[in-house]
Amino acid sequence: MTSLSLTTGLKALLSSRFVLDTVGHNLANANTPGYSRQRVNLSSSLALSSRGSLIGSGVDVTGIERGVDALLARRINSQQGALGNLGARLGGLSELESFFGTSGGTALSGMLDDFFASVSDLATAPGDGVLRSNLAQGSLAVAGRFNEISKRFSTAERDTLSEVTSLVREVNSRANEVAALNIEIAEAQSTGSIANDLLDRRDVVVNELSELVDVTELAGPNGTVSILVAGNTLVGSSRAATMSAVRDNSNAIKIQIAGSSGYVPVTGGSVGGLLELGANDIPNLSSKFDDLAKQLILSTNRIHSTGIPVSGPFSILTGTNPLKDFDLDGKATDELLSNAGLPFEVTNGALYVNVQNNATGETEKSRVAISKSHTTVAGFLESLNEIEHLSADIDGTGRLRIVADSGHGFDFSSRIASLPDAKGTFGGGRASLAPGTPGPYSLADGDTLSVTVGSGPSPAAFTVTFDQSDFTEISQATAAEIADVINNDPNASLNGFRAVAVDDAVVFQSAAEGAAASFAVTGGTSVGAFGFAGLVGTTITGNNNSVDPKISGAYTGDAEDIYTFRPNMDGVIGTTVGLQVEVFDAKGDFVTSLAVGDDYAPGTELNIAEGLQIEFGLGELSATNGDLFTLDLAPDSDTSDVLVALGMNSLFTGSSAADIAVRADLVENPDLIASSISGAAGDSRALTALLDVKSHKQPGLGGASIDEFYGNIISELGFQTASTENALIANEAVTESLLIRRDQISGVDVDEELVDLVAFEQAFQAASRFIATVSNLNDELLALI
Amino acid sequence: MRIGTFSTYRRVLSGLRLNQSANIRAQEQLSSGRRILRPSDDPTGASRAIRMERQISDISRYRDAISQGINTTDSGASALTSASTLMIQARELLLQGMNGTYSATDRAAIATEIDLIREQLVDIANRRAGDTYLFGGTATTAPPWEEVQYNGRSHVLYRGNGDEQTIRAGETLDVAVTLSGAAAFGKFAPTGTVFGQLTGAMGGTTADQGAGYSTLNVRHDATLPGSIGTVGLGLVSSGAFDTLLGDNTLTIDAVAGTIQLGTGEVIPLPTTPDPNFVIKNEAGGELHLDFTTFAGASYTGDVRGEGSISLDGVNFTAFDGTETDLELSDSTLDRVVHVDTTAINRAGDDLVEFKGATNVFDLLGAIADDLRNDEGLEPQALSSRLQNRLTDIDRHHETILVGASTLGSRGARLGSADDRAADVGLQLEGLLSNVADADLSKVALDLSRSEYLLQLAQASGARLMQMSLLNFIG
Repeated sequence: MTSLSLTTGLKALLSSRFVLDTVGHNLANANTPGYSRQRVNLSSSLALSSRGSLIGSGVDVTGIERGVDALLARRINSQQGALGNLGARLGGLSELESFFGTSGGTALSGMLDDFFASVSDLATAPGDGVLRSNLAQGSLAVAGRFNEISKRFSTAERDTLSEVTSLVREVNSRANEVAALNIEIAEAQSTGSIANDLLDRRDVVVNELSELVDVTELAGPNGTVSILVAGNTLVGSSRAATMSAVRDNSNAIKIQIAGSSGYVPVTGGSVGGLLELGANDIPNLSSKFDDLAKQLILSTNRIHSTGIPVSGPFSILTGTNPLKDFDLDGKATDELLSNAGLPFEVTNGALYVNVQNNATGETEKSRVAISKSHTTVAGFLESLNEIEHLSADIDGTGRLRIVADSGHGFDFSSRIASLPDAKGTFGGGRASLAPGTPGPYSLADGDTLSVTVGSGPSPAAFTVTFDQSDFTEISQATAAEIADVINNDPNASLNGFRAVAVDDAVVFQSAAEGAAASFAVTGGTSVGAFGFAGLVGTTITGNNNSVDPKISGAYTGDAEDIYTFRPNMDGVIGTTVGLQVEVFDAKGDFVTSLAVGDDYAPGTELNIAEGLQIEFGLGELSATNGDLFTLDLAPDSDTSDVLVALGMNSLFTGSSAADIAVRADLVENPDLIASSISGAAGDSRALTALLDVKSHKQPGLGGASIDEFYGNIISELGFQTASTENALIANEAVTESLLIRRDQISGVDVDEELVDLVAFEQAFQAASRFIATVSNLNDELLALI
Repeated sequence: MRIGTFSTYRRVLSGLRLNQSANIRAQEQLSSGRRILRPSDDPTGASRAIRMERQISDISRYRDAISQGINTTDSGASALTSASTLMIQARELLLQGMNGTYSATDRAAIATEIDLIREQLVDIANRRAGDTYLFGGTATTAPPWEEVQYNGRSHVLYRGNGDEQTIRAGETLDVAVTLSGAAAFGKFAPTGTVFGQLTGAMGGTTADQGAGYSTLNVRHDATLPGSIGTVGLGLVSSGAFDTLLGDNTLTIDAVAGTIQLGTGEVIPLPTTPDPNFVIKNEAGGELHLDFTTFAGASYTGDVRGEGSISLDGVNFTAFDGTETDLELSDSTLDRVVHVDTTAINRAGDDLVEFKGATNVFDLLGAIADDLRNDEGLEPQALSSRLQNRLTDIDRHHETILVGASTLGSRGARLGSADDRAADVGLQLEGLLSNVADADLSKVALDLSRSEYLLQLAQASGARLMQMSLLNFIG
C-alpha cells in the first residue's frame, strides 16, 4: 500500500509542478502577441482494486491544451486583410490629397486664380507691357503646377510598385516561415506530441500574412496548413511558392505566384489595397486631372488662337503640334486632318482667315470649310494657298506653317473685314457687270461669251469659251470656276478683262479703273445663262469715285451668316432720290434697307443689324449692272478647332497635365499674347473672352466648368479618403472586438494564473505533506518492528 | 467571463489613443483657425469652400478692374470738363470778335487767343491715362489727333477708331470706360457743303464727300481781251495780274469819262495814260489795262477770264463757266466736291466747309482764320459767318458736355457695381468662414472636453492596471 500511496503523492507533486510550470509559462507570455493560454488537463488516475474496494491512485496529467477558437482566428485573419487593404489605400489617398491642398496661393486652385487675375489685369490695360509679361509668368506658373502634380501622380504610381514589391518580399518570407513551421509541426505531431507553441507561432505568421494578402487557410495532414491566395496555392504542406510583382503589357502592376498560371487577382491586404490604389485610384484621379488640363488648354487656345497680338497680324506662324503620317507612306499630307495624330479633335466647321494689307489696313476675309470626314492635310493646305497673299506648307518637323507675302499679315480673328468691297464690285472704280442672281449658272459645253473692252478708237473684241473640262459640272457652273476660266483666258488678260467670285455670284470687270474704263458684253451663247440678254451691247463704264463701303462695330449674331448688299436702282450715293442699298442674309431673307439717296451725306454711319454699322463713300451704284458685295460674318472664326489641334497661335501647348506648357516664343516675347479681336492695342475683347473660360460649362468636362470640375475632383478625393478612413475606423473597431473575444478565449488573465499559482502551490504543499504523512506512517510501522 | 490582462491593456490604450487624436485635431483646428484642413475632413464643405474662394477671388478681380476703370472714366471726364471750360472761353472770345466796335488788330489778337485754346484742346484730346491715350478708341498707342498742314490749311485729323475700351466689371457686365475721340470732339451730323462767297463757286447737283474745311483754289489762267485793241487798250503783262473770270462786259463811256467792268463800280477813266490801270468787276475780279495808247473812244465788249479750279491745290481742272456739276477731288484728305462754275467771276481761294462734319479743332481754326479775315470778307458776310460758327461752337460744346456726363455716369455705374461686388464679397466671406473656419468657441470646448476625457481615460487606465491580485499575495 505504501508504495501506492507514495506514488499517489508523487503524481500529485509532479502534476502540481507541471501546472505551476504552465502557469509560469502563461505568466511569462502574458504579453506575447499571438500567445494562446495553455491549460494542463488533469484527471484522476485509475482506481486500484484493493480488498474488494476501489482505491484512487492519484492524479494524471493528460495533456496541455491551447485555448484557441479556430473559427475566430479565421475571422480575425480576414479582418486583418480588410484592415491592411484600407490602411494601404488610406495612406495612398492621403498622399494624393496633399498634392492639391485646399486653398492658398500654392495650391493649383490658387494658381488658376492668379492666372485669371493676370488675364483680367491685362484686359483693363491691354497695352501695358508689364501686365503682359505678368500674364506670361502666370501662365507658366499654372502650367508648371499642372506638370508638378502630374509628376507626383506618376511618382505615386511608381512608388506603389516598389511598395508592392517590398510587401511581396515580406509575403514570401512569411510564406516560407509557414512552410517551415508546417514541417516542424508535422514532425512533432507524428511523434505524438502537441506543438502548442509552434502552432501559436504559425497562427501569428498566418495572421501577419493575412494583413498583406487575402489568404484562405486549409487544414492539411499532421497539423499542417496550406494557404491559398485568391484560389492559388501560396503555401503547401511543406513548401511555399514564390510570389512576385510585375508590370503587364498595359503597364499595370500585377501579382504572380510561381507555379500558378496567369496573374493572381489579389484584392485583400495591403498588397490588394496598393494594387487598387495603383490600378484605380491614382489613374482615375490622374486622368481626371489630365481632363482638366486638356480642357484648360482647349478652351484657352480656342480663344487665343482667334485673337490678335498687340504686335498685329502675323507675317509667319508655325503650329506647335506636328502632323503624323498614319499610313506610313512617307507623307502626312494624305491623312485626314481629323486623323493626323493631332492632340485635339478636328470637327466639321469652318476656319476664317483675314489677310491684311499692312499699308492700307484693308482686310479680306476668307472661309475655309473643314470636314471631319473629307478634309485632308493636303486639301487644307490647298485651301490656304488659294487665299491671296498667303502660302502654307508643312515644315521639316511636320508642323503647319503659314507665311504671308511681304507687306501683308494674317490672323484668324472674328473681326469684320473693314473694307468688304476689296474687289470693287459695288460702285468700285472698275467697270463691273454681274448677273442679277447668284450662281450656280447653267452653262453648256462650248458656251461662249463675247466681250469688247474699251470704247476708244481701237476697242479689243474677243470671245471666251467655257469648256466642260474646266467645270465639275458645267450645268452647275460655280462663280469661282467661271472666274478661273476668264482669268486664265489669254485674250481676257491681254485686253484687261477679268472676273471675280463674290460669294456665289460671278462679276465681270475691266482691269482698269476710273470713268475711262469700259467694256461691253457683245454676245455669245452664255448670255442667256447669265441673264445678260437685255444688256448685250451696252457699254459698262467704271467710276472715278469708289463707293468703298466701310464696316464698323462687332457682329453680335450667334450664327455664321453672309450679308449680301445690292442697290435697289441705278444712282449716285447722296444724290439720287430713292436710292437704297438692300441687305439680304445667307438664306436670301431681307435684313434691312439702307437709305443712301439724296438725304444721305456720304461717309455717314448707318446701322445694318446685329451690332454692325456701315458707311458709304461717294460713288455710283448700278442695280442694272448687278453691283453687289458680301460680308462674311462669324461669331467664332474657327468652329472646326483646327487651330487648336494644330497649335497655331496658341497660349498653352501640350494636351495633358504632364506636358502642358506655355508656347515657348510667347514666353520670350509676351507681345505675342493675343489680346484683341480688332488688332487695336486698346481692344481687350480676346482677353475678356478668356476670362469666361473659367466659368463656362464645358461639354468635355461633363457639363461642369473648369472651376466646378476642379472642385469636384477635390471633393471626390475627399469623399474617397474620408470613406476609406471611416471604413478603416469601423473595421478597426470590429477587429478590436474580435481580438477581445480572442483574448477572452486565448489570453492570459494574470489574476487567474495567480489563483492557479496559489491553488497548486497549496496542492504541492498538500502533496508534500501527504508524502511526509505516508513516510511518517511507514516510520511508525518500522519503529514497531 | 474571462478578461485577458492583455485586452485590459489594449482597451486602456485604444481609449487613450481615441481621446488623444480628438485632442490633437481640436488643437490643429484651434491653431490654424480652420475647420477643414484637408478635403477629407469635410468633402462637401471643402468643395463648397473652394467654390466660394473662387467667387471671392473673381470678385476681387472685378473690383481691381473696376478701380482701374473708374480711374479711366475719371481721367476722361476731367479731361472733357477742362475741354468744356476752354469751349466757354472760346465762345466768349468769339462773341467779342463779333462785336463790330473791335478793330482788325483787336480781332487778330482774339484769333491768336483762340489758336492757343485750340492747341490746348488738341493737348487734352491727346491726353493719356498711364500709357494709353484716352480718346483714341481702342487705338491707344499713338496720339489719336494729328495736326497736318495741307494746301495752306491746318487740319487736325482723327487717327483713332470708333471703338470704346471696355472692362469686365462683373461676370456678365462689360462697361465701356472711354469715349472715342470722334464721339467726344468730332461728332458729325453732315448737312451738306458750304462754299465761301468770294469766287462765286456754288455747290453742284451731286452730293459731296468729306469732313472739316478745305480750300477751293480758283486760278486765273488767261484773259481774252476781246477787241479792246480797237480803242488802243492793251493787257498788262498779257493779263498775268488779272483775277477776273468768266465773261465780263467792259463798258467805256468816253462822253461821261467812266469805265465799268461787268456790273462792278463805275469809275472815272484815268486822267493820265496809266500803264497799269486796275478795274474790278462786281466780285472784285481785277482787270489790268494799259492806257498808254488809249484812243479815247467809247467801247463795249466782253473781256473773258479763263481759269482752272482745284480742291487740293495741286490738281487743277480748267473750266469754262458752263459746268454745273464739276467734280473736284482731294485724294490726300479723301474729299470730293461738285462745283457749279456758272457764277464764278473771280480768282481766289474759297473756304469749303463740310457743314456738320467739322471737328472742334478745325472749327476753332476756322474761327481764328475768320477773325483774321484773310479772305477780306465784307463785315456783313463776316458777321453772318461768325454767327454760324457760334452755333457750331455750341453744338460741339454740348457734345463735349454730353461726353463728360456719359463718362461720369459710367464711372458712377462702376462705382455702384463695386459696392455691389463688395457686398457680395463680404457675404461670401461670411459664408466661407461658416464653412471653412473653425468655430473657435466650439473648438475650445472640444479641446477642453477631449483633455478632460483623456485625463479620465489615463486615470481610469492607471487604476485598472494597478488592480492585480499580486497586490494582495504576500
